[in-house]
Amino acid sequence: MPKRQIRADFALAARDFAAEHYMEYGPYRTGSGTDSNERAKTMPDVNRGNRPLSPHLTIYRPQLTSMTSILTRLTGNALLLVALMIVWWFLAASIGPEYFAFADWLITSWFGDLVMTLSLWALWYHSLAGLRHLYWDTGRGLELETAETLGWAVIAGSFVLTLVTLFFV
Amino acid sequence: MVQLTLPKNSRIKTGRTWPKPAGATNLRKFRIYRWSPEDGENPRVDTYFVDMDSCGPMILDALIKIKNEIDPTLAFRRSCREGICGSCAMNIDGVNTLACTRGLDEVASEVRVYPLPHMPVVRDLIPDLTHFYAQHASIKPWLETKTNEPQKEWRQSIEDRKKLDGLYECIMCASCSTACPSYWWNGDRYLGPAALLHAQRWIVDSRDEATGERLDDLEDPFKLYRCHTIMNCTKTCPKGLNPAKAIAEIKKALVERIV
Repeated sequence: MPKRQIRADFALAARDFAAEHYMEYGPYRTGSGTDSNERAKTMPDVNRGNRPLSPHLTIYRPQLTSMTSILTRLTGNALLLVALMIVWWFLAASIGPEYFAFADWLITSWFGDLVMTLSLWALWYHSLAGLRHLYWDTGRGLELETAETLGWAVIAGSFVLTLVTLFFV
Repeated sequence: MVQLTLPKNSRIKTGRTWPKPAGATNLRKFRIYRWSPEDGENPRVDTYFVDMDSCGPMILDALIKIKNEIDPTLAFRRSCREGICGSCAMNIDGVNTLACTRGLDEVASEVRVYPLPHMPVVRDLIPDLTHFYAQHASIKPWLETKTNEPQKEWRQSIEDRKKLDGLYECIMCASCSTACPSYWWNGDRYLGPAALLHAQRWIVDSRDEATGERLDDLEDPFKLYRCHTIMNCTKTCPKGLNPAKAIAEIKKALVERIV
């Protein structure tokens, strides 16, 4: 059989496979699929029966890169809450002296100090992790050793900068 | 969506402990995930003891020994036993890898073996990879051309061929995709590291003439952009490839073509 024919046959077979196996999954064909009901219909539920889902989060060993990644999210979300708390502090000042006294007491209490100190660390951590993401977005620093070194740098840097801010600013 | 706990039918029950081989002195404990579609029971984790004095050096050797000598009902995929077929990918000692290339001396003394994470289980250590393969097919893993076919082969310079290194070696074992938390939560619409690495393999191929269409197909909040550079994929790849970098290159190509 001529080579060209073999190649053509192969391409046709691959296309048939794709048609058979992925055309039924709408999202890949159309690039849409935002409607969850639509998605449920197109999920490969065929003949799955009562198959269990294999364990994931509870059995997977935490990795340096995955931990620094989830911490970026956690600190980001926590900072949003703290930002709201600071707004509430300002809002209290505009409401009246008694209410401000209460808000100010809470925010400057030991508990408020703890939250603010942790937020300071979160701010540094999140900023450094953001810089690491910017660097990654240029396609650099993605070799495993570099990425892990950057991870340790973000962790160490966040603590050092927190201490510097606490004691020298 | 993110669902941290397992569905009711997937929660793991305490399994049975199989008898120790008679006369063996150098025993090693194996804790292995079991599920059968026949008995209507939940999955369980069974305990086996393997005689290390008469066992080969790899995890796969121990699994085959268990199947041969202790429990013939233990089901797992395996074929080449040399890391090129990708059949025996599973979660060993907390990370995804190939049972045939991971040495028994590389893991904790109590060996924990589970199927690839967050996949429907067919039986024991065998996950259902239908969806995973369909995602691979969806990126059109073949040469797309528009010009007339050349008399002989499609020529490629040595430099252009070099661009495929680190991409073409993927054996589709699914270790990376099933190690990815984004794939766990959004695997229905996120293509996952393996399919995206293959996509990049065809995007950078100098002979391919559908680069634009390929990029168009991937420009989607879910298919591509659920990658948050968690890098579990690169960390776990038993072939030492770097799907995270391949995905970053696709994202970069998408930006570069509009600036």
